[in-house]
Amino acid sequence: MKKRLIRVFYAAMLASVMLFIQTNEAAAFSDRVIMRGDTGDDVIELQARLQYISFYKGKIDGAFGYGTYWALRNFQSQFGLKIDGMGGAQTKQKLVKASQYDRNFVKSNLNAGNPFTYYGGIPLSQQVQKKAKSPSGSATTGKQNQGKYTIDNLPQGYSKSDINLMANAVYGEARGEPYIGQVAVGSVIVNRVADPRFPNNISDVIFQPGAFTAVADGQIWLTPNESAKKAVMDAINGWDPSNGAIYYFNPDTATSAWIWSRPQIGKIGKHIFCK
Amino acid sequence: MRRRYWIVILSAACVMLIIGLAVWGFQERQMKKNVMIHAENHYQQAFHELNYYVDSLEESLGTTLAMQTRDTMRPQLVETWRLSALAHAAANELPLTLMPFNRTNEFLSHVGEFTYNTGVKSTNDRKLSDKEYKNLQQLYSESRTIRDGLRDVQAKVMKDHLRWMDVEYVLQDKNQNQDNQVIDGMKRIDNQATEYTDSFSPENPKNVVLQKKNLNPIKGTEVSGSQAVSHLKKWTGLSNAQVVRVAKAGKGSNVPAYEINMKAKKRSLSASVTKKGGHVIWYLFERPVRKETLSLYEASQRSGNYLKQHAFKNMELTKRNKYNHVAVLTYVLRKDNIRVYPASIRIKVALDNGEILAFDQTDYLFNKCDNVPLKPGMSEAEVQKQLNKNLKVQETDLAVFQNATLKNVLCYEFFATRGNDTYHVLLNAANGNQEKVELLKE
Repeated sequence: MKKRLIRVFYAAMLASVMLFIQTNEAAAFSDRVIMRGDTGDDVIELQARLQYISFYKGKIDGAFGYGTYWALRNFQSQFGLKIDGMGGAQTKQKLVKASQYDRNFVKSNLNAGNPFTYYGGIPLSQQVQKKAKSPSGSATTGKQNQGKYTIDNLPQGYSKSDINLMANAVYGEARGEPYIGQVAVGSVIVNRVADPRFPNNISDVIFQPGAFTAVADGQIWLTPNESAKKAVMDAINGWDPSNGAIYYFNPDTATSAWIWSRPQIGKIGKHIFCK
Repeated sequence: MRRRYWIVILSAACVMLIIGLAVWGFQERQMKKNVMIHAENHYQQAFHELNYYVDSLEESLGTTLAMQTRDTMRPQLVETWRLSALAHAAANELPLTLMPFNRTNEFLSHVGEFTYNTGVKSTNDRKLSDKEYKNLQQLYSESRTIRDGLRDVQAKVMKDHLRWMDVEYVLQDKNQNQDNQVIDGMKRIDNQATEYTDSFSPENPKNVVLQKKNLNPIKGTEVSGSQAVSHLKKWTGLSNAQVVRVAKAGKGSNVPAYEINMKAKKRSLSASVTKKGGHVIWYLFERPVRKETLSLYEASQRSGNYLKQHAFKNMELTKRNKYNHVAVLTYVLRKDNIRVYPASIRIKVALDNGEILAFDQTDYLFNKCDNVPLKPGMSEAEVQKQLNKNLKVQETDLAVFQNATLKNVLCYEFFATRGNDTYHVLLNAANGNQEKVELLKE
């Protein structure tokens, strides 16, 4: 009698715990549709859940790239869903049913910058490599990742350091200019990279002797502001306010006679842009 | 007595000061001299390297001309390709950006492209075609002209101890009188090369905007500046915007257009509108975006609606980038169920309220892409045999792609995975040649 009571009690406990987990999980995803190119918490959960049932083998980083995309499509095809590679309501529901998600485990390791995986059936403690506590290393990575696991999606062919360098150059060259003028300076750099008469990568174009006054007088090493960074992103994403220019100059301070002989395209702010 | 004492002390201090200043000045001067010598040596090294590489390049091109089959030629072509890259790098280290030294650079990049396409990329072993052989000959004779010119300058530099630092100063000087032997020599090389550049043009500049002959003719009648403005207002839906400036694009622009600046909602909007037909080429309506309430999916719905409103049909979303609380969505044309990559449109959406911040249809308007046959010459299965066995194909499609020689080609497009990496492979649908393989970054 007593034993049975205990058994019932345990069963009830277990059921309520299960129920609790179930509801907790269902409420985890936000109701947004997730798609390739997305970043953020929903993507982290999606990747973790897909990894839990062994569809996704990449890094859980919160950036919905091609790896996640194929994993999701495979999941959709095996679970009889419409294969569109997007995390819609139905897909998320099925996924929640099929997998588990330990938010604390995933988030804390992500924040701490520990390399970890999240496969179902393997004890979590075996899936994480705690970083050796070196006073400088782990502390800084932890800080950088704190609450920000999103990676800015960069256009193919550009690295983060290319963009930083371009932001420096744009800021040094055109910080007093209107925003559109900053984008234009950025696109001149992009146009030069594409042009056979100039070096074919960003840093060589920027540091070509005599190419930019900001490089010659050291102003390139000023810390760029947000506006310059945004302008660079617009320029490498394809906006070209200079309309294909590969030179520009300030008519008040231009020192070379030759530059005046170039066919001009237009004037933005203080700069004249030309071919 | 006291006074004399002071005078002695003061004058001693003065002497000390003067000596100190002199020592300090001397050290500064010495340091400056060291830095100058350092910079000068760097330029000299680049210049002599350029000479050396152009020298070897000329020899290498000459040797190639004597060879018969492509198989025997290939090592020599690869060597030439390597030399052209090194010469180009050396040339770009000289302080010549502000003078017409372009043609040597252009020549070097032509050599690079030609040798790469004929020697490295091409997989068959047929002889060079007559046209290719002729091109090679032209490149060879051109390399001799440039080599001779460079040698002249080099001889002068050595004989008269000319300094590249002076070149830099002269080029940056306001004084129009650029009397410098090095510059004269370089200019001469540039002028001699004119004839060649005009006659030989394997795919000149790469950029769409730089390339006139591949431009699509724009339809429509000429519009005036005010008509262009009203087109822009209608397009952006900002009928109350104040016009700040309307200017005609200068003669350097490939397409006659109006540059328009407007003010609306206390922000400035910049745009370009073609003279013919009044098409809005691009616009940017910048503002800070600080929070993120929309998802990428919702943003893509906004941009989809935007395209619908502006009567674009059959556009397919291919790329989505999200950064700094904005989303950039790239659409390409889908014609007869074939992706036409060169015809693309970009839209930037703010993720706080879904406003369309920027739009760009340069490629869609100007890229000529109706000259491609849309029937594949080979079957998909045949082409797929060319793929690496370790690749797992996830998606296959037909696509028009602009290859490195700026030709539009019909390709089979494979999205394939190997481990955690995803590849985008484009194989020519007519002959199975590999046009492009790229490792997609996440």
